[in-house]
Amino acid sequence: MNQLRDIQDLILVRAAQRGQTKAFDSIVARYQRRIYNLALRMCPTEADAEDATQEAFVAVYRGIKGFKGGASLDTWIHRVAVNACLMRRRKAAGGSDATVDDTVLDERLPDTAPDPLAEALQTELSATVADAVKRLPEAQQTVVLLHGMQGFTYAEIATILACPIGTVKSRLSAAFTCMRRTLAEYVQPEPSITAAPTPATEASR
Amino acid sequence: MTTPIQNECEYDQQLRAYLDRELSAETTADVRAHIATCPSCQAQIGFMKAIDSELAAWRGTAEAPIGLRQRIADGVAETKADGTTAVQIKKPRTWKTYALGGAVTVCTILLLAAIIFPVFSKAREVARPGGYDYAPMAASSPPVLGIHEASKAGSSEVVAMSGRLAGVNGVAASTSSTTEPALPAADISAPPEPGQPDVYNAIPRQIIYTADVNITVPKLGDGQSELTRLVYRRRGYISQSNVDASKGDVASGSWTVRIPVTQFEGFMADVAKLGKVNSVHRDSQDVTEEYSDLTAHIANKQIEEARLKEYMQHKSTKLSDILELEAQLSRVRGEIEQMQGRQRLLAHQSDLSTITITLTEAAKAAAKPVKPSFLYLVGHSFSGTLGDMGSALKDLAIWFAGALPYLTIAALATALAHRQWRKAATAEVR
Repeated sequence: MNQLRDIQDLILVRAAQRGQTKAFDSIVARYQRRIYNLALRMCPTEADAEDATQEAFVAVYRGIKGFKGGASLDTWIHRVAVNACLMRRRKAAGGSDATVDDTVLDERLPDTAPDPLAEALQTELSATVADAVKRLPEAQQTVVLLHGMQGFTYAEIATILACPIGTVKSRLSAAFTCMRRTLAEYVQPEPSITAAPTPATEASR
Repeated sequence: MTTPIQNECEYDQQLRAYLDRELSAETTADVRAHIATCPSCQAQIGFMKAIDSELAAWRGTAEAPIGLRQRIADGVAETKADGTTAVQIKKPRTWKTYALGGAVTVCTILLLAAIIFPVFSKAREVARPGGYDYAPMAASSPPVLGIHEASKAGSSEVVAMSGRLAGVNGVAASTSSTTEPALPAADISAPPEPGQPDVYNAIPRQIIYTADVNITVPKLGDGQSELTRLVYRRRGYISQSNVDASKGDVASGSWTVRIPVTQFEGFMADVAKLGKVNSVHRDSQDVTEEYSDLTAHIANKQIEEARLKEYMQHKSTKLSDILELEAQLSRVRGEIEQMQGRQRLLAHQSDLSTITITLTEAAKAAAKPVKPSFLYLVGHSFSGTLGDMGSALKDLAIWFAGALPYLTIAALATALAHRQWRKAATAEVR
């Protein structure tokens, strides 16, 4: 899918390995937004997210000489970033979630539908989903974010977390069961709307 | 109908993987068949799809903070600094470093002053004997020998230098010493290098030699046939000739000949004997650097080409990627060919020297001496000065290479003295 991107990444990595600061800067420019958004969801506060992103990229800089190119740069950066986020999170165990959610939601407002009622419902749903994801156990939450938000396949997630694919599969399944329990009141009672899915129409990602 | 919140369906575990198409074909078919009959699983699928689209919407919602990139750069800079501070702590001296540097500099200048004068004047002599006059080329050889002898009697530094000279021009030096009695015969098989006796010839150099000779001959026809004979004897060829015997009352002709570089000097000496030499202009262009640069560039581009080919074979499946790589590949290929062409041209030009000879018949030529134009004089003067500057720089480089061992010893001695002095100073304090 993203082979051209991978080739560009590889060229940047090789240049960065030779000590070219500009190449590393380009890597930062390419990935900082993606990583920062993940960190926002994984860390308790915005400040923590920023710190974790910074730590992640500094760690990437330190480790880039040892990066062999076996996995894609995207996967590798995520591996480093997930570790940085989990570290942050453990350090600041027990922060308040509300502030983060609000600010994140504010930034999403512009692209919502014009109907105020739908908007309100959507916002409420989003906040609830965000809350449900936050309440997941750490391991499940990480898998859900890498899968749903960052769009990785099971195999890629297995590489990032250094665990078997089967673990990814079972954690993901457990996470959705767990979230469904939390969000019971939001589940549509009419199954006819979402009934009989066929693989062809399931391209949600 | 109420929503079955506690979903206890046995297929529950498979639904997520089913939606992500991470199941085997067989299991997929099985699960699909089940979902069609199970409202609870249908609800769960709907739920997961809703969550999926919600999560996908989170992607890239927030802009990265403006200062983040700078913070990362700062963090990286700190990492770099961490590596170097350890080294820096070892040498906290300030003015002492300057003192050491100053001592070394003074030593260097003294040594330089001691050696530069004799060596420099000798090097000048070495550079001169070629001059513009070719006929007495043989006569100019004795001074070169003279230098060799003088240098043996001189300071050890100069001996080292002459040793290098002899080593490089080994053939020429030994030939000239053994054939000393036969020197008047200008036809030495291994003549000195063109221009200056080139100390740098130890490295395979790519030099383009060109020369322009204007000679007055007693009879044009004789001169012409003699010239042709000379060219073939030197295994060269005439690339262009232009004889003009009808115009006016002075018969003249010009020939552009290509002579192998090794034969260049001998040929020039031969030509000078054809008649009275009116003017000689010679030029050389050192393209070694360009040549080796080209070689390196070509090697680099070839690596790039190989890498692109590798991508084409292994990684690309998408047509657009292949097209992109194809374009890159043809660009690289073109660059390589262009550079190889240039390289071949340089090699060809530096293998053969280019000499333009103008022969003028003597009879009435006396009335028409070659009067150089004002522009020619200006150009000649300018290029002459440039050449002088270049050779002065070369002389300096030779001298420096020779003096380097002494400078090293001097620096070491100074450093040692400095350490002793510091020890003494600290002992005094105690």
